[in-house]
Amino acid sequence: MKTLLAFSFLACTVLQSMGQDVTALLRKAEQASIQHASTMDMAITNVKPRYTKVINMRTWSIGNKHSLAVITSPKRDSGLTYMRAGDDLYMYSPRIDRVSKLPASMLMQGWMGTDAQFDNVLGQSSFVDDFHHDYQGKVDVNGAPCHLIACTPKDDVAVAHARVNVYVSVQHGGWVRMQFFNRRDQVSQQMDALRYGVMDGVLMPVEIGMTGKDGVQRTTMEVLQWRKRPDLTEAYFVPSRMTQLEP
Amino acid sequence: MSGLVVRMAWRNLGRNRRRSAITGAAVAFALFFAIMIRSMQLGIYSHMIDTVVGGMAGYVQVSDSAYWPSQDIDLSMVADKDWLNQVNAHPNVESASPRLSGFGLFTLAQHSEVGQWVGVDFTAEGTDSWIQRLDAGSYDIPDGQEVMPVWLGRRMAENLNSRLGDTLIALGQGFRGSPASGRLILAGTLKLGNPQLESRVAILHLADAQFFSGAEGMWGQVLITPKQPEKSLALTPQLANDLPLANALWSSWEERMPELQQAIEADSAGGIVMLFILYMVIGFGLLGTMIMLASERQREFTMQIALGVRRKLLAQMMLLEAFFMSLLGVIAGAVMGRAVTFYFHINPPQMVGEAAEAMESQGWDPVLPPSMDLSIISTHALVVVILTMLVSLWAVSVVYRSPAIQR
Repeated sequence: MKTLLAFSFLACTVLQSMGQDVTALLRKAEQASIQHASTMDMAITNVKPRYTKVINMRTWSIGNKHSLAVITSPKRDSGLTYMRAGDDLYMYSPRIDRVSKLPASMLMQGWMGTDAQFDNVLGQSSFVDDFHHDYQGKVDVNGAPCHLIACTPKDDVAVAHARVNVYVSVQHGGWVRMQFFNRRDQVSQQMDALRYGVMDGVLMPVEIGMTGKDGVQRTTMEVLQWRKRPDLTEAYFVPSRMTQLEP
Repeated sequence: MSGLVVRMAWRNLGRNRRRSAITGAAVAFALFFAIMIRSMQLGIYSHMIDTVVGGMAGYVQVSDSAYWPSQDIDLSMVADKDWLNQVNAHPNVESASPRLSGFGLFTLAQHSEVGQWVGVDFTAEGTDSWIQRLDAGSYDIPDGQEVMPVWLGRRMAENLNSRLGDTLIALGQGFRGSPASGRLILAGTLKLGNPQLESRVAILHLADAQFFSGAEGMWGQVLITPKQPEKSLALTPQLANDLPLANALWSSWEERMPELQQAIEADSAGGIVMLFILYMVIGFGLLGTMIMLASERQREFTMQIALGVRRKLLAQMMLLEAFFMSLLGVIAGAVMGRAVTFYFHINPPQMVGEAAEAMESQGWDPVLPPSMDLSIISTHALVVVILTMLVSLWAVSVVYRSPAIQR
């Protein structure tokens, strides 16, 4: 009996410490995108059978609930601004000079015809806070060993994904691949960190490839510049801000 | 056939005027009802085709080969004006005009409606047809302004609670991932003869639509109205051959809307069954009068044969009499039928109540304009004449069966 109790205690401790490890792994992997208030310049390249489109944008963000993105090119779309403040989503179009509130369900929809979704651009759900984790062991992705962590959303979190597989690099602790599964257990989106770089002292994926489920197009997000902005506060993210930004 | 036979046949009609009138009237009513049934039916079909196809979808449509059925604006085709000029110059083409369309959300104050915006080249489509569709407002607004003029289907304008001159906000999916957004000024409302269209269509100038969606230099589709719209299906491959365009898909409305074509064919078959029943009833009525006529004149035939009149001559006379009676009936029936269809053509009957709602839900105005096609009259006149001649064979057989001596 004593042996059994001792064994149970040991098992619980191991599992608990494993759980903490997984959370720590994910926290480290998310560090660049979520833990710092920042501004970023990025280019999104969307390659489709009929055309290739490059969208340049600048974003401001704190955590994953507050972010602002303004498109700087192409000319036709420049000045178009998207903002997420908590659970609210806004869009500002200079052509109609009006801020429109968008339904939160749009977060999971394709963004400007690319494979990126609104929440890829405006801050994703936090894997550490919003998901349950299940460590699945080590697997190789693109020849590099990775921890595979299966994440399922917590009940009170509004996400469209049924589950997400996150592959975290054993070597540098950053994420290498994320696979988003829909309710039919098909891959609805896959993101690959194609290249890692150091920006303002933080190691982060600077080139991310995305593919949708039909695979007829390809989208690449490239971080051109990233800077910590500790001065940013949540008060920065108000709808009136959207009308004052220069593209 | 001698003139004597013709003269005798004509005079015989007057010998028993009541009998001739009854036979003629049977023919006249048969034709009158046939014209009414068929004109109404064919009129409704062409009204359906005109409003659903002619107005908005085009009899023949040219689009990118991948455009249908998604109608994705990204699958628009590059505008080729030289080719369009060739299409317009083709001897079988009445008119050809480009369109560009997409879907968007139209907002005015607290009201929003999802609709289809359609960029139209008014000059290429002929302003007359668009002026006819105008319910309120006008087209005399210069384009190329910062605020674009828009003409809404009248039901959509009602749903948005909008008045002429109001500024609407339009948002939607634009070309190649760009959002389409713009401010539109309500310049007019349209009656399109199709309640579903009227509650979701917003017409823009083609150039404005291109600017609004970011699809400058692109056409969604080109609508072609042939000189003979009823031959669209046969004409489509010929036009595609005569006017080649790379990666283009040519389709006639029958191919794009087979359900409409099938509904018309099924309904038309039902109408033909009705006509068959009508002709059966009228045919037996005519046979009755013809049997009466033959038996009343049996003694006359007998006497004439006894006097040496050849049976063949008598038979010719009977056929001629039947022909004259049917001709008089046809003239009377055609005049009546034409007059009534003309009246309803000017004042088309308006459906009310549930029937009207059923028609509206299927996508067209609940009015029943009869067809004014003259071939309906000629076809059915020929049918009743043939029917009368067939029936008159009874009288001919009586002539041949009549003995020379009455026993």
